Amino acid sequence: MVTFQFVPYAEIENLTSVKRVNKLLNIVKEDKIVIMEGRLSKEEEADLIEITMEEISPWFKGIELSVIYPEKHRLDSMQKLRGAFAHLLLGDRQGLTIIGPASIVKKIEKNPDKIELFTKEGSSRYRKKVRKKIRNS
Amino acid sequence: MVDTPGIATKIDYEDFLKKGLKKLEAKKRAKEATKGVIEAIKWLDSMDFVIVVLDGTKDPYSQVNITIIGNLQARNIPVLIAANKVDLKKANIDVVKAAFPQYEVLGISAKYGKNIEEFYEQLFKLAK
Repeated sequence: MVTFQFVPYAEIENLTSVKRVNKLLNIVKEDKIVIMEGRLSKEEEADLIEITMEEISPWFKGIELSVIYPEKHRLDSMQKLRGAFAHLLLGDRQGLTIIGPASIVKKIEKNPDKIELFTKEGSSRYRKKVRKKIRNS
Repeated sequence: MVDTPGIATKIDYEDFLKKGLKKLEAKKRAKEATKGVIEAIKWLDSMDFVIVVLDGTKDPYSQVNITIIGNLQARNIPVLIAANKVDLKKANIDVVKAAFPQYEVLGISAKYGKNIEEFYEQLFKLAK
């Protein structure tokens, strides 16, 4: 079984960058796949990679990350204008961010019409093994 | 000049085991790799210019590529993109160019030295 957790933008809106990144990473470390409304800033995305690397251990192997965002070159000028206005009003609420534990998510592929999330075979067996190790340690 | 390892979002010591390393050595290599990525990200703030080496046979639209190049762009750091492995049939430099139209993209083969002279020329042009 794979669990997804939706994180509305309102839940992270007032957090500092470090707290935002840690909140998302803590959910992922519970073996859940985060679907966040909106996106992190470029700097926060880099922080997410950096903090992930700091947390790597035999029991946490990292993350798979994907950001789905309206492609500006595919929009007409009216849509671009509306997008800029929405961004001004709502911040980075546009788009979706998907973050999953690397022990479960093999890869996330996106193309203009679909998002494909590939899970690892036998990942539930692996998770049971990891939980057992954590309990015994 | 700082040569950093490839930036990744996941590192599994078991991948090193598959390369024939013993468990302790594999864990040590994985630890070194994570440190390398952390340092590479920290260095982003101190760079005058950056050469981003991508595997020309792979999808350039990976989130890591987009995040790192986006960060360089946000910091106004000049970038040269080297699409490596152009000696392989699978390589598609046009896809890399389409992914990052804002930067100079050069196809190279580090293995066979293809376009290395042109690479140095572009590098010195960027560094001036």
